[in-house]
Amino acid sequence: MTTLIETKNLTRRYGPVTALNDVTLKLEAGAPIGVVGPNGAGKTTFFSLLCGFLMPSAGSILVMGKPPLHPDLHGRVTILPQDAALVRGVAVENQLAFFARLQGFSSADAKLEAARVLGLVLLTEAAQRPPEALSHGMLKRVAIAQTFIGEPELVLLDEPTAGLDPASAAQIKSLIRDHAKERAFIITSHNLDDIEELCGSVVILKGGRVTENRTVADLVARASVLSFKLEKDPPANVASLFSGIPAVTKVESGRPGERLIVVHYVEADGNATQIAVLQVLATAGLAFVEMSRGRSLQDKVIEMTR
Amino acid sequence: MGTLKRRPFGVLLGYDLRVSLTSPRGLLFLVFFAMIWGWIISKLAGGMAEELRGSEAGTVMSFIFDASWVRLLQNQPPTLSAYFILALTLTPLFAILGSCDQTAGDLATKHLRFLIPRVGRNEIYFARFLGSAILVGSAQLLAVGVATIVQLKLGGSDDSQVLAFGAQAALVLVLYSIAYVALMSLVCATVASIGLSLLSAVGLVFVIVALVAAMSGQVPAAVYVGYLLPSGLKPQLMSPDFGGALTALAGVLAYVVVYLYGGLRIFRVRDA
Repeated sequence: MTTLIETKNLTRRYGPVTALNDVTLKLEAGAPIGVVGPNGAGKTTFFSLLCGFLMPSAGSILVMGKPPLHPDLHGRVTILPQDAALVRGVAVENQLAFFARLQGFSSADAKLEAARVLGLVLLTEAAQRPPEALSHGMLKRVAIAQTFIGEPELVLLDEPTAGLDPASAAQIKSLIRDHAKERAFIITSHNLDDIEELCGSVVILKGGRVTENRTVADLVARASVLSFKLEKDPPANVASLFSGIPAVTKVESGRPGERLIVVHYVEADGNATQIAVLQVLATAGLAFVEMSRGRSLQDKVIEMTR
Repeated sequence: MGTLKRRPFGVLLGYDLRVSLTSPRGLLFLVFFAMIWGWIISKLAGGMAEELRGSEAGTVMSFIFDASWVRLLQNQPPTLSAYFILALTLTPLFAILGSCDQTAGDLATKHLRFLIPRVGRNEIYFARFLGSAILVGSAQLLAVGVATIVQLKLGGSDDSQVLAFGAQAALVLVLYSIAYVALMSLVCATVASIGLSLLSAVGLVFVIVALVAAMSGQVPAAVYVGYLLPSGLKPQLMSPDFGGALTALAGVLAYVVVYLYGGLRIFRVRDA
């Protein structure tokens, strides 16, 4: 498996504030990787260090075996940066064509490439408009489009769906899914449903440190947990209802008002335990509005970064 | 300090030049430059510089200003000399104005984050420097050309002498401008704001000039502070003979190298 990112004791300080603290991490190519954590956890700083926008205060980084600013990485690693602005007064297609030319396209091919990537984000009709004539969501899509110029091997997307309407967000997620087989993605997002949907593994940052680096399936324990959103809060003795199922190891209920129960079990006999759990709920008259295998990534991340 | 890749450098340079010639900022510089020099050259076209050649005017000028001004006016075509003196005096202002946004604006808007994954910091830095140098240098060349034509039309001097001094003035003004553009490369790499880069550079020039003017009477060594800027070489650059100016130009090139190197050291490792 190809190593995408390898950091050793990576630290970045802004004056007295340590944004990233002694991060040692190895990320392998494969399914998209999510980087999550609360505000100020160091996600954007991490991306900025990977791309050489910022220099580490200590430690080292290798991106596909090279230090971040190495010329061999030009065009092979692209990024959707947060808060980066396009040049005012210049049509976005011309700016994308310029980026393509920097990546080695001829003048004519660069124009075609710019049109192609604008098509990917459904912005063909806005090609001749300058950035100031586009909405925030459209600008975000242009910024996403530039990450698909050429044949990047690693695409870093910092909050790709933030600020997009639901239809645009769904289209961007579909774009990521479509390209995930050809190239590696590392994605940060506060929308953990997106991460759960798109990513195969997750790095959780808290206070500038990595607290988890696991597959999403492991993290949400899809194979050994059932979560139910009930119509009403469960009774206080809900755990005892499942005492007749030997495979059930633990039952957790949410706080009052959350209408949640989480059933942990040992996976041993196919779906039999799951069916037994459902039967117990039916017998006890506990109707549910939603059931999921495993815990939601959102709940897990909130728990881990609390 | 790394290498410079020719192709992306050329792409960056071409794009920067196109954008600076069509952007409001580039156009503002060109319009401002054209207006000021259009007005000055139209005044000089009246032949007023001839009167500065007289001995009385020379005495007054050498008392108020500098003996090098008088030497130049007496030994070279007067209208072109007067233009050259004024141009050399105003060059820092125009060069700073025309090159205040090399990397500073892109640092402020974080636009560099679109470029850095595609091209080296060296290429970005030098392309921005060269783009600004071409813009400011071309404007200077154009103005010297017009001043030379005006001198030729006014007559009173040998045409070959006018053309030779026009070439000397062009070379000096372009290189002197480039030294200030290089200074701006250093300033722009340091501050992430166009306005701040402009203010910092103007402030720096003003403080150094004021310091030298105020202290040189009491502390003779204060004159060396003036050498922090290329204007320290201005008397030598005004040398009426080409040889003298050429020696000073070597000094100007040293400023270019020092400023550019300092700016590059900062830009290569600074947060973008």
